[in-house]
Amino acid sequence: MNVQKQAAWIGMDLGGTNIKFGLVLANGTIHLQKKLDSEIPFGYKYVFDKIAGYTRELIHAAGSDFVVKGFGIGVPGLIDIKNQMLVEASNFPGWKNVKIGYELEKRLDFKVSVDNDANLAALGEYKFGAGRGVTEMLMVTLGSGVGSGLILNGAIYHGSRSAAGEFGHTIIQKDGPLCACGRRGCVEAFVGKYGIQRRIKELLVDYPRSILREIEPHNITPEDIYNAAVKGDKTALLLFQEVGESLGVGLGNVANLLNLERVVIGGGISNAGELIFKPARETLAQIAFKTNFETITLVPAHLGENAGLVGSACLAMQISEKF
Amino acid sequence: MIAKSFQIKIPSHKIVLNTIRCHKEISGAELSRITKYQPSTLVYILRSLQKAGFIKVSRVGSLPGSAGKPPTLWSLEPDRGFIVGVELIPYEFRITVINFACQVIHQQHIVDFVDLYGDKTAATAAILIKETIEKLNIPKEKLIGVGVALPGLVDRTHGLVHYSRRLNLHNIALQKQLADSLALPVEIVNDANAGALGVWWHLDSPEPLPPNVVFLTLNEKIREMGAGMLLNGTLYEGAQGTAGEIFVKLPALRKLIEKGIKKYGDDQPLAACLHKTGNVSLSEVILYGKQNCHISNYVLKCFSKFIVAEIIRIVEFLNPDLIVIGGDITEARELIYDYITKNVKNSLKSIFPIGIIMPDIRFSDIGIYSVSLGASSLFLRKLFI
Repeated sequence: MNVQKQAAWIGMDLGGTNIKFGLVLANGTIHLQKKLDSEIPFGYKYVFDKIAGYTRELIHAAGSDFVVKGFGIGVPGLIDIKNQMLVEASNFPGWKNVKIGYELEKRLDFKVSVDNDANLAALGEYKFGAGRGVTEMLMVTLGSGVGSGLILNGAIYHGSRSAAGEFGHTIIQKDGPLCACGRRGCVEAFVGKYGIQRRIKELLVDYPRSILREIEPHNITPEDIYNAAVKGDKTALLLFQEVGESLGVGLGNVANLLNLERVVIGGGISNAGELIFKPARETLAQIAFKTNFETITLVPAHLGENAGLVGSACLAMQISEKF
Repeated sequence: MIAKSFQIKIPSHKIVLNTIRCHKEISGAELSRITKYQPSTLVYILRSLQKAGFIKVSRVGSLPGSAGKPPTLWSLEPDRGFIVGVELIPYEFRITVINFACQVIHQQHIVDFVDLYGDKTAATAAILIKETIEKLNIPKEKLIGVGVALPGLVDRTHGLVHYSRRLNLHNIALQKQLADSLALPVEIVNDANAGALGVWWHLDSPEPLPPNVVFLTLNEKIREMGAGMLLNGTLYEGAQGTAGEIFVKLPALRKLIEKGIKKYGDDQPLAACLHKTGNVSLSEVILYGKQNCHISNYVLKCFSKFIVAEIIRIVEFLNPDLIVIGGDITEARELIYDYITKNVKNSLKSIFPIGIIMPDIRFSDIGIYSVSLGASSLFLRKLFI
């Protein structure tokens, strides 16, 4: 009997530390998943050989019920979309102008599609996560830095040279704290991990009775702050209030510029949930024009750590549909 | 909806028509090469469009050599129809009329019209549009439609003005009101979006327009700058059609002039003008700026700072390929262009390593009528795309 094979796509999130990849079905379900060390310093040829080997293993493990129709990969850096090339990435030393699409297609038998990891996380949430049902969406990932991906008219918006959607480096306070980019007052300087650590040190001077004083200031993590906030620690609560407000200012500006329908917030710091979301919404309401505020909803991400993987597979799906 | 006589339902006919529009004048052979239609198919399409009055044989061209038949050149029939584009500004009205060949046949700027405000806006605009149509002797059956642009939150799809602070309009069905009084198809659009459309349809550039273009408009009587965006090659209006409102608040012109007088003294030409007339327009500020008046240059520098701030915010987030500045401020291009580009570049240079690039910044070639011309473009899409 001839059994119809199920279509599947491989999605890969190539990070500075780990490679997450899996076989994703047309409904966004991850059928099989693997995680490896990325070993970036060994160079791209070594890494791509390894990726090709493990990809074959993954397909073999999935069995003969599936037909792989494409391969999508997200990379944290500046991507030349036209040439499917990584121009450069701060966490990938020595990887300059690497033609990822070409190199992987040489090693694998499928069409390979490449994009920035934040864009693909946004695409994943848009297709199968918290962004379903809208066409204008911003995804913000709150971590060490502030990543973002923009979906406009239902497609990833790249801008010129594919570097659009740098929400983290939009300025919300003139002469504010110094950001890693060298400018002052960027969103990231307030809501990124290092911005939060800087601010908690300042607050602990004014609030000496905070339970966070038990931890060395430079070792305080967003999780510590969340745990303290849950216990009612005023310093921790105030900090999340401020983080939410700063986020709200940035999002208010974006809402007015783009009249978005949804903002999806992901990343480790977003685990603070309503402690950040509530002040963010309140500030957004003050900054955004009424119509723009009424249109927009601020929600947590659904796909968690897998957003990039699923989004990469989505990209491969879109490309395979074209051919 | 445009009248049936202007509707072209067959896609291949629209493609040929639009190709002729893009080239202004083109031979059948060139059309066949571009559209990839067989010569016989093309001849049929050209004859159909000619019969419907959309195109005409403009002339017979010449051949570089002596052999062969000289090419027949086709162009759009200018008198086939007319589109009216209007920009509503508080107490002011700019109107542009274009013909079917997208040539401007009339432009007018009416100032100090007290009834162009609040509840009277729609009725007054309708009267002014009717007067223009009568003055130009355009038969009603030749009018394709009227595009109206205004500042504020405009829902183009539903023809509603949610809010226009400058015109004091709140939740009004402006499209329907105007269509009822004019008995013509009417479309409405935010002024900055109209400007962006104007750039798309009318920018005089040898290069094709890049995919991501932001149009900023600054008019004397509207103290908020708006942004019209062409992203991924299409007009981006947001979920409810209200994108592009950044609301960088510009200072009042008079206050800036008074500050300038304090800084540079009463003996500057602009100060004398203010004392004599009691009021100074942006055009006068620009005029005296060109004569090296320090107060004028101070005022224009202040405006430029706001333009720089808005451009930076847009580039940080959208990283467009091109930014076009339009509205009243375009008259000051030679005085402020270097200041704007230099300061945008200085502010952004630290984020160039993450891939942000310095966009091309230009002032609109269309000048103060860029928005009204853009409003007329609302109907070009229906005709040609």
